[in-house]
Amino acid sequence: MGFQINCPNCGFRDLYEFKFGGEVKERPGPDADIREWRHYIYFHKNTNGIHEEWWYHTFGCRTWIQITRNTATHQISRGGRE
Amino acid sequence: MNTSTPRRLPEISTEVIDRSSPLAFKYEGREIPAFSGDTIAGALYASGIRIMSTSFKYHRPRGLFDMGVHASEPFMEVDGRLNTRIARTPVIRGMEVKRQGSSRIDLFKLADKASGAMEVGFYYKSFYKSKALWNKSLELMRKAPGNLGEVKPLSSRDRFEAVNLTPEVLVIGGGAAGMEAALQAASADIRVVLVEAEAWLGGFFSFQKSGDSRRIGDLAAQVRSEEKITTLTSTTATAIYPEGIVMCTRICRPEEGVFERLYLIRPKTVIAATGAMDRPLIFNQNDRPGILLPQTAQRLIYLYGIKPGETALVAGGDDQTHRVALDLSTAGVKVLAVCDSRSKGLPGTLEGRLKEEGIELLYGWTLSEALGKQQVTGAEIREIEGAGVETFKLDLIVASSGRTPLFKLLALTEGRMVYHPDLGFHLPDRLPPGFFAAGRLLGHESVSAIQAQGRLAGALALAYLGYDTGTQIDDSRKSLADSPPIAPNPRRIPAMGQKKDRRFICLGNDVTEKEIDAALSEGFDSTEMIKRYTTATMGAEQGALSQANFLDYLASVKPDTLGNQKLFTPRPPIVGVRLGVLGAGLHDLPRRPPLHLIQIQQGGVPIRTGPWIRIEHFGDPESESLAVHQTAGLCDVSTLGKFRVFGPDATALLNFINTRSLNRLENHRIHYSVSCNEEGVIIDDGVILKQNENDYYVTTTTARGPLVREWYLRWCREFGWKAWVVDITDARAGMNLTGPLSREILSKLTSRDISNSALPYMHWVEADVAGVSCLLLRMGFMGELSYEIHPPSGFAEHLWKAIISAGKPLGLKPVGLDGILLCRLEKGHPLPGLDMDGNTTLYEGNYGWCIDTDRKEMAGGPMLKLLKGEPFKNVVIGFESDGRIDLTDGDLVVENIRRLGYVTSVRYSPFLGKTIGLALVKPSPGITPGGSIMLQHNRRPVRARLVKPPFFDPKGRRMKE
Repeated sequence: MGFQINCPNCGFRDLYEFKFGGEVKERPGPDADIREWRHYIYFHKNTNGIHEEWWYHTFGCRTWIQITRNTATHQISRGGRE
Repeated sequence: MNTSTPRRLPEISTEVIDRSSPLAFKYEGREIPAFSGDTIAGALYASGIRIMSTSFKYHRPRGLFDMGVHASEPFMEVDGRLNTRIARTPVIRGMEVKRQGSSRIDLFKLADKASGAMEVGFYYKSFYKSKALWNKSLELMRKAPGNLGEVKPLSSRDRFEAVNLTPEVLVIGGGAAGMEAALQAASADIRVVLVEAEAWLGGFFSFQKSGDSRRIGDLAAQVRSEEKITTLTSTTATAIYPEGIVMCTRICRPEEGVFERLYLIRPKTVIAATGAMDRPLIFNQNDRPGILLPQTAQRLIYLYGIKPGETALVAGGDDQTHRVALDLSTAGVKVLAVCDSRSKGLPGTLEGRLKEEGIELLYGWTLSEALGKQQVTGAEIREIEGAGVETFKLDLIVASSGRTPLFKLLALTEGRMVYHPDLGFHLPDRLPPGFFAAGRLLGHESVSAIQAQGRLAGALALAYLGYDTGTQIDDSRKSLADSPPIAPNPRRIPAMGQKKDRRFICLGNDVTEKEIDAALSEGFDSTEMIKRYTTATMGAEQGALSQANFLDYLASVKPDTLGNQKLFTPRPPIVGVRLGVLGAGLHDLPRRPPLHLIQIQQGGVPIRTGPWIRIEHFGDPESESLAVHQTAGLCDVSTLGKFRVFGPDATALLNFINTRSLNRLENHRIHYSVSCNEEGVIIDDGVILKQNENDYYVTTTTARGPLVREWYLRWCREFGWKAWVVDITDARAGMNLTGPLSREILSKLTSRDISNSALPYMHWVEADVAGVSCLLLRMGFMGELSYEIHPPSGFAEHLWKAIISAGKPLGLKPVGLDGILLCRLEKGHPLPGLDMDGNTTLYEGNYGWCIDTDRKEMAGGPMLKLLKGEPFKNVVIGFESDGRIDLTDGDLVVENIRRLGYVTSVRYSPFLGKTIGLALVKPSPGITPGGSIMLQHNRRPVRARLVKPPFFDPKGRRMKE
């Protein structure tokens, strides 16, 4: 039960304090094909399962963190405070 | 000794009222006596008031019906608080209670008489044709709801507070099962929170006469004395959210100083023991005041010592109805008969006791109609399998059709509620991990089974937490197996009797069986659609009372297609809460710039903008803007985001984020730049100053400062850049001295050469102004010769005073936000987020000039390359019209009848003598400079000329010289 993120600066905090920053993606190089750019900007995997993602602690320490979360169970397996 | 009204019964051991503290409150100009502990509805009932409200659609009289945790109506206005659930609200001495909804002369009552005037789908069928009819009817329709009050702005200033709890185990429901579960959990020496909606423990058994009540009393005492259990009474669990937060609210006593308290509970495991409610019996006129649910009658007798009526009929189809008949008889109510829809009762039941009391028990009979014009005066009963008909004169009907477990809270989780055709109700199934259920929620009725189930749930919760509770689990399973089987609900009895058109399935929205039939005959064939079309279950009670009967009715009419009895998705909160309580604990802390107080002292009028309190104007915004053009103005711009960006990769970071390249940024030059997201949409604009190698001073707009910081940090993380972004918004104030005389004023205060050759346009220096070391930025946001002065915050007030006194003889005026925004509009500066929306690209915002292409990578770069030369989706345009034209931000831009876009900023400019504005529109052949556009203000057309901003001084001579 529960979906809290263990912020490295603030400890366990409710998801409402954070802003979702999308999937962790690799930015294409400057010479990449426009198709790659389109995928990078507009297409998201929308995974049902293990998901690497960005969160910004808007109502806290205002830093970015990356976590690995199972989107089906909200279980966080990596990230936040180690 | 009985000093109260004759409707009060002698004292009973189970009662929760305090007869030693009588009090009175006001109701419609009357004094109503009550005891401390009474509910409003109970006290009114005890004073003989049966009709308490009018119904939503037909404005039928309504009264007390349900007193359980889900009870919503009747609503009344209590001390100015609208839609108060009076059946659940305790009385307070001197409180003022008013009826709400329609007046006494009520045209809508005709809707009840003229059957068909408000037929199902009335609004859908009546108002799709004529727009004129719709507009006329709108006002009338707003008055239509018969049960709701009229909203008054800021009618209450109640205080709310929030409390956070993190127990190991949360038990919802303080009845027999919940208390057993809590005690079992606490035996492992862990923290347990027990939430109970009533002010006392005991649940269903707190208002049962049986000998079990003493057992329950002992249990409650045990719970109270257990240190590990935190008991929260008068606290209702209203929602379970997927993150595992259980939201509970408590209406506080006046002496607590808080009106309602929000408990946010994050338990490791949850045991739901929410109990079961009575299911209403459907018969003709089943909504008349004087009809009570069995539990309501029992609550009146055993909790509040109120005699529910004089002569009664009891109808139903289970043993609970027999029990209630006995309870009524004991309380001195003459029970004429008990109609039991079953052909015979279960073995070992209460038939003998009923006979002893002289109550006639009629198996195979049901209640077909309640008689009475306003409230119940009689009843008609019929033989189900025969032709027998009988009528009675009476003043009370107690009727139910079995029970409905209170599963709504659990249904908010991922758990399923499954319909059991053999039982006739839904039971929880496949609860998510960490959730357990117990008690009457699982259909049990015998107290021993309920207690065993409670202990089992507690033991299972402990096992879930990792405790070894194998023996406890086995023991409670064994005693459960020995308990009597779960009794089914009575089967549905089809409509009987002559009159069938007032059989209300949904009391909340006045939906009858007849209306559901009409929807079916019109071709509606899905439960969800019929629900929405008829609005059944969609009233204030949100299906608590009506959902089971609604599904049951559909299943009986169309067993093949609508027989699955699938529940609707419940949505939190399942019991109404005041909006204010949801915001409890979230405090609004506006920011004030360092120049706030001095500006207030000088007559500034404060205004809230986003997180900031700024100064709107100093009395006359137009003359302030004129001063900027004719003499000089001084504006507070401390709210601009200010950042120091430094470190080995600072140049790389800024080069990546900004559309302007820093490669050629010389010392003492100011770069104006915008930043885009990866889609090429403008997110902010501001300026960059180079203070040293890899050490920059960056400003952003007021609104977007936090967002820009977030954007910087994201890219630092993404690329691993060594650059630090330090927010110095609060460390430095900012004031803009602007106007033709600003150089003259400033030179009085500084020895620094600020001539046009020494400090040209878009250059900056560090200078002492009035003895304060400041950054001095020569810029032109407002279109005139301008110096933006950034002193350390602590010296801001001193500097402001010095500039004002130096400039006053020359006509300097302080300028508020209104004046600032007008001047920037005259200069044609579109603001991101105001004149541009979240889709406006760099090119569409007219910022195509502001992009350097000498870098390999830039945020939004690839998209901008692609967008260059593409047709615009939207474009920022300028328009003007002579004189003062009545226009406001948000007015439409139209072409024929097509909407092209909307006005984003419009003001009258006294300096230009014109009304000028910016609009965000779809490109159209008609939109060309020199052409004209059509605006719409309050449905009136206004024509305006299209002009390319800025609206004056296109070459920018005034700010550059």
